[in-house]
Amino acid sequence: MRQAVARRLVARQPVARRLAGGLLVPALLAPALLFFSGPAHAHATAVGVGDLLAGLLHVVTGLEHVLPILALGLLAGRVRVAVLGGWSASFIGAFLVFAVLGAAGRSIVPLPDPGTALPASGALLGLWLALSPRPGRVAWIAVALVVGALHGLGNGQARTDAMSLPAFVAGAALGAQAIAGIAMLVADAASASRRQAVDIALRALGSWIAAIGVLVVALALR
Amino acid sequence: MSPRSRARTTRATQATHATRAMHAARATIALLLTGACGHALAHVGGGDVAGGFAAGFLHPLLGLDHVAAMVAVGIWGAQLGAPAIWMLPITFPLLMAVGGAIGALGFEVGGIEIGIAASAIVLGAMIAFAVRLPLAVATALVAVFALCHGYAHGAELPASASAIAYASGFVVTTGALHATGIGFGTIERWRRGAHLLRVAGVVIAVVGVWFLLPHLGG
Repeated sequence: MRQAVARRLVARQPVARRLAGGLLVPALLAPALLFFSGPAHAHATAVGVGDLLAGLLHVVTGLEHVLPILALGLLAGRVRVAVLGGWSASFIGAFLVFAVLGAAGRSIVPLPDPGTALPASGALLGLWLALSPRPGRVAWIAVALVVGALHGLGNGQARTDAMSLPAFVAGAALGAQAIAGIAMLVADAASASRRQAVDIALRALGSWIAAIGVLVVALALR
Repeated sequence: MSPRSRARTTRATQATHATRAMHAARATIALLLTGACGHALAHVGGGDVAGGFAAGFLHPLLGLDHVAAMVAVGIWGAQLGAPAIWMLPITFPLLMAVGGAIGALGFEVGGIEIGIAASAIVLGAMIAFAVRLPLAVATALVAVFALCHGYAHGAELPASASAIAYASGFVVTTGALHATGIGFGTIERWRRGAHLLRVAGVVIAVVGVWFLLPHLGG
């Protein structure tokens, strides 16, 4: 009887309090140990992983890449078009091709200036997200190709000679696809609720991305 | 011991354990934070991302005239209802960025400070009198004021900080101030809330007048 009462009481408590009783301290200690650890001076067993990570980090830690690709993914998720398969393949295909060209030091289309071209793409995509016009399938694919090519080239050109080309490009493509894919899934799930607040939030986010893009272009030009 | 008093004892014991665990958790968090501390690099220059974001984030917050006007945009939008509730806060950052670009590129525009003070006065008055302008007129009004605010910030953008980090912090704060205004503006649905909003409008207009006075002197 006593055990049954105690079990019922524990079950009635919020999850956070139950966690506080047992799991919270070890859960916090584990990341604490990570912070105290120093750099690992050994080398990675898998050769090229460092370059793969370098490529991935170059995309996900550079706001000039994150914001436009985020806007593209949010647009795709918001519009919920039936061409998402083709859209996604076009984006990442163009990204890969132009990243290889950029990393190899060659380019079909010379990147005008990464300082202005990349934020300018963010400004346009953000504006599109804020105003949310609904173009056709061809326009969608064209935008995905242009954004993929531009950011592929921008990332590829960041590779230094010491880095493995396939590993760096694969890492960059992985990072770009992760940002676009996660943004698309989040916007798609949020849009499914058909709440006005979601529409407002996505439009506001678009206006923010556009505003950042315009400001950065102006700062680069001054 | 009766089942009820037994249950009470069990509950008290569990509460004590939970409290102890929370203390331990807090101590662990404190420990974690000391471990996570990096070097104190006390400068914003050299394309500094974190410092640039912080500088941009704080910039709109440090001028009361900016804060009053941006919160007023959110409140007025909430007062006007859909679609103004999202149209005004979306128009503002876009046009503010255009104003920022004009300022950053070094184009000389006079009377900007008067425009900023006027924005607080006009928007405050719109809220105080609950003026329901047509959407296009309200949007145009906010757009003009956004250009003034953007220009003032753009002309002051530091050359040393990471441009994109600065711009991101700057835009996020602007959006947060609008959201604050919208959140506050939702009290409009209650009668007393609507009165309170009108009082807030008066306060915003007074702030605008306060900032306008030095410019009127000459």
